[in-house]
Amino acid sequence: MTAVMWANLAALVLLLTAFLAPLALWRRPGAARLAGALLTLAGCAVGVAASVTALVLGQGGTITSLWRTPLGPLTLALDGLSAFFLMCVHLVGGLGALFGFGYVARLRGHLGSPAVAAWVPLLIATMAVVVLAGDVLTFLLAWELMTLASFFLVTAEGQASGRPGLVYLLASQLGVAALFVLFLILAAHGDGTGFDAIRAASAPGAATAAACFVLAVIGFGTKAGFWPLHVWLPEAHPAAPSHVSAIMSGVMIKMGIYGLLRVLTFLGTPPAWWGLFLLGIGAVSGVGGVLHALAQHDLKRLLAYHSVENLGIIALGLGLGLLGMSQGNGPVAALGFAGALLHVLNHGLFKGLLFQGAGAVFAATGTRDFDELGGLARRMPVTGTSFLAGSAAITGLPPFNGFVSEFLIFLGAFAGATTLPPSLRLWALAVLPILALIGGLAAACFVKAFGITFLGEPRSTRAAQARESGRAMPVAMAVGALACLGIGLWPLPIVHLATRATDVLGVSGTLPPQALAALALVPWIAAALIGSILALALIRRALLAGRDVRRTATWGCGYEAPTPRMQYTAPSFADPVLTPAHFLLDAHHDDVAAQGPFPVRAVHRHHLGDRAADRFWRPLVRATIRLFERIARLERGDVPSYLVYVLLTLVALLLWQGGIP
Amino acid sequence: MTPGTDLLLLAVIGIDLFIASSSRLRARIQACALQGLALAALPLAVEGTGVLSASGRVVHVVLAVTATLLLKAWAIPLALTRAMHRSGVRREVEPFVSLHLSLLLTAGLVGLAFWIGTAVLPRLPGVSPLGIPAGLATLLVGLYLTMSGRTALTQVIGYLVLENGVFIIGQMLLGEFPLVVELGVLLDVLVAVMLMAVLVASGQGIATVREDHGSGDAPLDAPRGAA
Repeated sequence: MTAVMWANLAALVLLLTAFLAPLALWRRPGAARLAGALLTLAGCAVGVAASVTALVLGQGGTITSLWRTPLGPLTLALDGLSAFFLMCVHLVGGLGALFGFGYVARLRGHLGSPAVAAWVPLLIATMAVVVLAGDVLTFLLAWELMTLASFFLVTAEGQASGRPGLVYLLASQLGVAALFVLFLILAAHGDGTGFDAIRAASAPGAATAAACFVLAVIGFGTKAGFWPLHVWLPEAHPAAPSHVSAIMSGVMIKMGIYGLLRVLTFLGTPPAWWGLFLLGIGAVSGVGGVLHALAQHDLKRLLAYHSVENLGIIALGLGLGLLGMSQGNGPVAALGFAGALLHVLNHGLFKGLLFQGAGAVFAATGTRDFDELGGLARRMPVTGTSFLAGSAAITGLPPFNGFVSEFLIFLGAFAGATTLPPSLRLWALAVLPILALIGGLAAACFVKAFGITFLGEPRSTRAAQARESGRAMPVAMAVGALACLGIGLWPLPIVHLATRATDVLGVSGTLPPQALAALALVPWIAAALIGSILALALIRRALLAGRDVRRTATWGCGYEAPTPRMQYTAPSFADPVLTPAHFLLDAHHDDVAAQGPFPVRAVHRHHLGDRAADRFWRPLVRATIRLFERIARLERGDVPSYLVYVLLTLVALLLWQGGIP
Repeated sequence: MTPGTDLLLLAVIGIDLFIASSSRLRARIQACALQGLALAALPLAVEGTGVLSASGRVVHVVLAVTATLLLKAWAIPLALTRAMHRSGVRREVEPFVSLHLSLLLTAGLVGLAFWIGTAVLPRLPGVSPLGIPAGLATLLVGLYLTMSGRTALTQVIGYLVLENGVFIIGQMLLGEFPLVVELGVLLDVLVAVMLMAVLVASGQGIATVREDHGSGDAPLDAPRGAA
């Protein structure tokens, strides 16, 4: 057993202690909270160190439990893929725990019980075990524990979070049902439940592999939030405490991506349609997610839909990677997979940061409704700056990290459009406008989210009285923002770490030299960008020197006495973008038009339904409930009825035995 | 195998139909006792009188016959009669299914049993061609009685008839049960019937087993059936 495995084990033990220690210290809540947070941070720090070491040195290892289940011992195995995801888990999880330390203290009355914070280290630990799992049983055990831990966290805010919690739990169980079937097929084929045994077996036949792939996309896609399996995300994320949303959206949904990649290593060379399938999912998730995000009134719901969008981007990368793999085209595969993996890390960082920003806003104002926010940038400078950095990162702007991973996927699409067989070129080419569209819409969305929340004038007294609270929350956000900036400024080391992970997928790990050359240019481009912004600021200062400068509210059409009600609202940002796309969306307007020269009242309300939820899942769930109600009618509660069933069954069996259909 | 076997089996089927078509509980109990008598005689008829000369089998056959006779033709009918007197219910009032229809349905069940027993199942050598059909018919009719009976006593009688059907099938297929099994089954039946008789007797008016169960084993929500 290698040193990195010991370190990983130590991280797990620290996290489990962090879960148990607050229970032992229940008489002293303050000490329990502090002990839990410190142990969690220590565990995550050890975990990050261990996984980065493993990636840099290319080390792996396995641990096998002494205790044997009927299906064999429980196994933990570390390779490049798990190490990369492990790094994301510990990094984002640790930042989330740090933020949560301050957040839970601030919202003590609001949360059902502060003890609920104890589930956070367990969630991080189970995610770590999911990516470390070396056999089917360990994987499914950890997967279910992860779901349970996150379920308790989602429902932490009591009554109001009951329904979202239920939706989340049902979605998870639906997904895991597909996973059970998938792993049963794999284990039966591979002659054992160990991942090594499954991988060692010859690749399954085309039909079996296709079934496995589809089951994996359904099962893991439910966790990852692929359209139309995403419906739990906009329910669960707003309901959960913000640091939990940060961890869930930042890394937990990526467990779906990890599982998908892990299963792909078992299935041999993929056919081209798998790649096209994922490209389709990615396009629909990406565009659908960002369009729905635009219309949201709740900051966290907006962010939840952005998770759908970003998972769509990751799916686009995976789809390109699979296309490349299917044609034996190393550069396309490497670029696609590396871009997807890097986006996993990047999205974890900036989405964690954005959810934490939303949490800080909620802690300061008690609301997440855009109509009651505004003007927070001056009142909460750290939150505002970090949120701005996160917004720039999520829209894929340099010099932040989102740019780097989307740039890799763009490069993969360009490479695919030029080097893939002619029949597939068009599909790779189609990725370019889709990715560009997603980026543009995301920019529009975050202009709205940041502008309405942090700029302008406060729309309520609560927003006017907001201020930064505590130290833990600002520190966590600042660290996250700096990490986003750091990866954006100097991407090559992280890209190299991501290629370690793509090695496991059977892709020739090196990126094409042109891509590396382009990435090497990124720091210079970023420096030029920052330099020109600084230069502009200096010029402005020089021009304004010696003049009378007054600070006042943003110019609003020259009104003499502007009020906060005269500002742009959230729907007024979204509507111009959404109107051309109305044929795709279920938008509901609720307008009372202004009438007469002196209108008394005019209303414009905008609500966007989710087609997947309203037109697919709701009817499906209703039909299921109706079916079961019908079946439940058989249960009559008196003995003779049951005897009738027995007699009918007996007669039917006899007839069937007699050859009567 | 003797002609007596077929006669006994025919009698058993006749009794099935009689029980299904009669509304008086006393007549049903008596018919049940008669069926017990026929069953007790069945091993003797199957094996023929020659068995009495084979030394090893005598004890077995005599024990089994005596036990069946005592329980099915005497003890159980007696207990049921007493329970009937105590509960004060003499007739099957307002049956779920009218007696005429009951007779038709049971006749249909007997027909089904004969079709299955002769056309579907393979013919077993050395077994009366009536054996399996008669057993199946008795089993199905017993199940039907349990199901359609409104009074608890009818349900108990149905259970007994069902049990008799199982007994016949076993007798025909295996020739004989091991003694312990045979006595064990008889004991089971005895205990079950005694228990049900106590339940019937403790109820008042048209007390049914169903209603007695209802107090302790109530369904989660209000019963939806026409109970």
